Amino acid sequence: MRKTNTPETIYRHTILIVDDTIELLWVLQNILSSRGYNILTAMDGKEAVARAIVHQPDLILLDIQLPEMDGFGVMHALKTHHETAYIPIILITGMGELNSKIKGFQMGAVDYITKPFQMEEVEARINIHVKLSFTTRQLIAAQKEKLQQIQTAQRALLITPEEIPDAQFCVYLNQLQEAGGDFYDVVAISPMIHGYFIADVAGHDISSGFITPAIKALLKQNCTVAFRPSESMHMVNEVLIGMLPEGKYLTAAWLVINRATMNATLISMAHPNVILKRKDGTVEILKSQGDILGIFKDVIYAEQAIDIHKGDRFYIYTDGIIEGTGIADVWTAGVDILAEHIRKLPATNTPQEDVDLILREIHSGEQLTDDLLLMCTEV
Amino acid sequence: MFETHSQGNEATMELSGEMVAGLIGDLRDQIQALFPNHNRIILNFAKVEIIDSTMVGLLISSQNLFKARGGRLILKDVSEDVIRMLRIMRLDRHFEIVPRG
Repeated sequence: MRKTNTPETIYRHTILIVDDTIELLWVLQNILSSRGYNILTAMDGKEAVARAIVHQPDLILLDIQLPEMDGFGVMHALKTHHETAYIPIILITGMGELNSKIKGFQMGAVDYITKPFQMEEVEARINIHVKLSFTTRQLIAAQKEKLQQIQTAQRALLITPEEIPDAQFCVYLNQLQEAGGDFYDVVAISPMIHGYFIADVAGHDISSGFITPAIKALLKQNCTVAFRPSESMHMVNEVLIGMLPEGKYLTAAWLVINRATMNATLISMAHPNVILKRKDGTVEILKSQGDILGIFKDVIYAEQAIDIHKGDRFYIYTDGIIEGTGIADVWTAGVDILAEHIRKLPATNTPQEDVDLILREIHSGEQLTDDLLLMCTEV
Repeated sequence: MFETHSQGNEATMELSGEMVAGLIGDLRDQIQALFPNHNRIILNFAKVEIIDSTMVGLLISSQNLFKARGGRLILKDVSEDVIRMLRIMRLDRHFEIVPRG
C-alpha cells in the first residue's frame, strides 16, 4: 500500500525566536511560518531558556538586548545545559555592535543577522543552519543510542552491595549523560580487607565510558595483599598513562579498610576529601593529598593511615555532590559544609538512610550539572 | 576565537569568560596553532574566574605537547580560586603560574 504523509508524520523544523519587540516577532513569525517552519517565541531571556529546554528547537534566533536575562546569559544557560548545548544560535544584533558579535561567536553562536533585515538574507541563513542542525541531530541520536548501549554495559559492571556484603557499603550513582564520567568499584582484597575506589573521569563523552571497564580490570589485577595501596595506584597510573586519550585524566580516592586489624589506608588522587564520621559522632575531614591519575609519570601517592573502630563510617563522593548545589561553586569551598551535614545525621540512621538524607538535603530539585556519586561504608 | 598577539617568539592569548566544557570551543586547536612559530605561549587568565576539569585536561595536554617541542606555557594573571584548585590538584608543580596582581 502506498504510504501518504499525514499531518502527524510530517516533520516540521522548529525555530525559537527571542526578541522583546513585538512587531519584529510578528514579522519573523509570519514570514517563517509561511515557509513551513514551526515557530515558537519568547520575549525575555528566562522564558527563552525554559522554552528551549522543553521544546528543543532546531534553531534559535536570539536578540542580545533582552529583559530579565540578556542574550549572553541565555547563551550561557543553553550552552552549559546538556540538552540544549548543540542547538545553533543566530544572534540578532543592531548595526555597529561589533563587540557583541565577537562575544557571541566566542560563546558559540553560529551566525548573526543585523537589524534592519533583508528577509531573503535571513531566510537563506536560517535554511543553511537548520539543515546543518538537522544533520547534527541525526548524528547525535545515533551516538546517543550507542552511548546507551555502553551505559547498559557499564551499569552491569558496577558491583552492588548485595554481591559483596562483607564490604558493608551503600552507594548512589546518577550519571548525567549516557556514558558518565563518575565511576566506583569495590574490591575484595581478602575476606577481611576491602578496597573502595571512587573516580571522576575528566570530561563526559564516549571515551569516559570505555575507560571504566579498563580501570575495573586494572584494580582487580593490581590490588592484592602483596602490594601496598600506594604501589597499586602507581601501577594503575602507569598503565593509564599509556591508555588514556590526550587531555584525559582521573581524580580518585582509594580507601582500603582492614576489618581484621582495624586499620584503614587512604590515598587521595586530587579528589574531594573523604569524610570520616566516628561512632561517637565526631567528624574528620581527611586531608590526604596526591597527584591526579593517568597523565604524569612522576607522581606521589601519599598513604594516610587511619585507626578505625566498629561503627565508624566513611563518606566518599565526587565533586558533583557539592558543586552546583548552592553550597559552593567549587568543591574546595564546600567540604566543610558537607561535613557539617554529615555531623548532623541522626545516629540511628543506617548507612543507606545517611546517603538518602544527604542527597535529599543537598540536591532537592536542582537541575543536575554533573554526575553524582556518594558512597558510605561502615566499619 | 580568543584574541592573540605575537611578539617575536612569544604569543599571548587573552582568555575570557568561563573556561568550561561547552564554552571553550576549539581552544585546543587555537593553542596548538601557535606552537610552530613560538617558544613561549602566555595564556592570560585576567578575565577568567572559573575553569573545570575539561579545561584542566586541555591545559595539561597543551603543556605536555608544547614542552616536548621545547616550549614554555605560562598561565598569567590567574585568580586566587583557580590557583587554589591547581594547587590542591598538585598541578602548580607542572605549570609556570603568575598570580593576579
